[in-house]
Amino acid sequence: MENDVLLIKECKAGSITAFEEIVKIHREKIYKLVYHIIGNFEDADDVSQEVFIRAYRSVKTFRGDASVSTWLRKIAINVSINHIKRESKHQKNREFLIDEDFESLLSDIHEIPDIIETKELALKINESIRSLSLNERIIFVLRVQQGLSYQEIADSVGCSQGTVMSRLSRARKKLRDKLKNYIV
Amino acid sequence: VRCGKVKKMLGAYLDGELTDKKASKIEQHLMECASCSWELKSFRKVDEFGQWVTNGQHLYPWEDYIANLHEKLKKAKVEQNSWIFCIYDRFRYSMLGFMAYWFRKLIPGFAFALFVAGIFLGINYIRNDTNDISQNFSSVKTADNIQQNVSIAKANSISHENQNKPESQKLIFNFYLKEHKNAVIQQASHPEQTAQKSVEIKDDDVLYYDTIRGERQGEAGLILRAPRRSNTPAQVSTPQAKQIADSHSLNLEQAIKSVTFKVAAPQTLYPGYLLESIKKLEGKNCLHLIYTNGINTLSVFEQSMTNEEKLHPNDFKEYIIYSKEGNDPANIIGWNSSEVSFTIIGNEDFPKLINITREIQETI
Repeated sequence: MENDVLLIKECKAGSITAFEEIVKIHREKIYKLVYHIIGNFEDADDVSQEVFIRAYRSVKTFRGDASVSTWLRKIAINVSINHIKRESKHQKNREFLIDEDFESLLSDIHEIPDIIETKELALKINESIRSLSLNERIIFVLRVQQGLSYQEIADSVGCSQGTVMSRLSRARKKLRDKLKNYIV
Repeated sequence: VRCGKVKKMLGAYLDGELTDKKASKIEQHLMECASCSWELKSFRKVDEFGQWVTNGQHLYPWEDYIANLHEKLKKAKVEQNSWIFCIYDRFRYSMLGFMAYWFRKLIPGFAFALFVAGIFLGINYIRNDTNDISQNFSSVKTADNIQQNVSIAKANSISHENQNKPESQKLIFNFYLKEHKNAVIQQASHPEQTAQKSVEIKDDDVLYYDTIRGERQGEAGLILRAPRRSNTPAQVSTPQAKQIADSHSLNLEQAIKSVTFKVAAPQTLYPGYLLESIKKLEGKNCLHLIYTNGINTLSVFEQSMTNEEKLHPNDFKEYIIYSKEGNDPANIIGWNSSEVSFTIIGNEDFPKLINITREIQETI
């Protein structure tokens, strides 16, 4: 945290190296967040980089009221939503690519939990998450995959904790219904 | 705890967002309820699925990531240092940008306010356009042209049927311009006749002429005239009309000393009127007390009826109460009390004005 503050100071002075250090610290979470919101690897690479470019450009306005990770997360959510809106017209054409990406991912996964044995399930999970509405998906990703508290989610998304709770509940129920064959 | 309530809170329970008290209640319920337990288990499984698909750090192309980003950051830095970006950046975060942002936010409000003001002004314009009397009165500027304007006003508002009657049958009425113009053009009653008569106003009839509010000097104000007794010549006032320049403000002590009658000057009058100023008409045994409640003005005129002006008490006993309905109803009440005549002019309705007369009477 303190390291972040020092790095931000250097960034405000124009240091790219300092900003790259920030990127190294936060890139994984931001990349995962972006990927799970937009749903494909190819774009996640570009979009996550866009997140960092935007952050670099607006670093002078970062006042330090929130942590760097919260600040980056907000930018990531906004950039991802904008990307989805921009690309929504081409979404159907991308369906195939997404699944292909995901399948190649599965072949490399080392840590497969005991309860999951098949690629089919992984594909089904991914598809189910993508079937959620954008708001539900963002909150599900922030809670389940990013491990944020309700308060942190509310701050990042700009809604109340009650909204977070209800959207998350809806998302879980939808996913459960879609994945009920795999839930013993 | 009921199942429905528990199921609503299961997500928060799973996420550790409940208080210990609520969590223990949920746990207690879960021990007894298979349905809720299954629900919780299914949520846990969904979370596990969700977490599982994010595993695997090797997914991320970190090798080229920083290298690619580095180039983009360099480009961004160059852009940021360019003069165009500098101007944009400075504009964006400067006061101008701040103001532009707020101006953009306020535009709908301004537009709405202009729209409302336009409607309001339009309505006022139409109303003024159709109100000849108002136009005539607004054109009155000084005492010099009173005669002309009074004639116009009379022509617009007074029946002409009895214009040719002899002088003795003509009535003189109290005439008030501008501030309470809606209340004017009413005839005083005559002892012998209750029906309205035609009137004739001459300069001689003007007993007092002043503006209600001092800042609007030069505008026509009040013209008071005592009703003339039917069989006496119309010599109740001096030939020359008195103007604002002839009156001056006094404090209460000075006012009391300046007139021969006992002044009634309560500091407050219900509802909410405060004594603002007192004026004495030069050369007249007459005071003009101005009360205000911050919105409306109330004028109280007090005149001696025993001095050289020869205002006989009878002159005033015929002061009548008259009013005009409308958006700006102005009412006048006149009465005499021993040797003093009182006239109140204000926007209040009659019940309130009558209460005010009682208040003033009590101070005598």
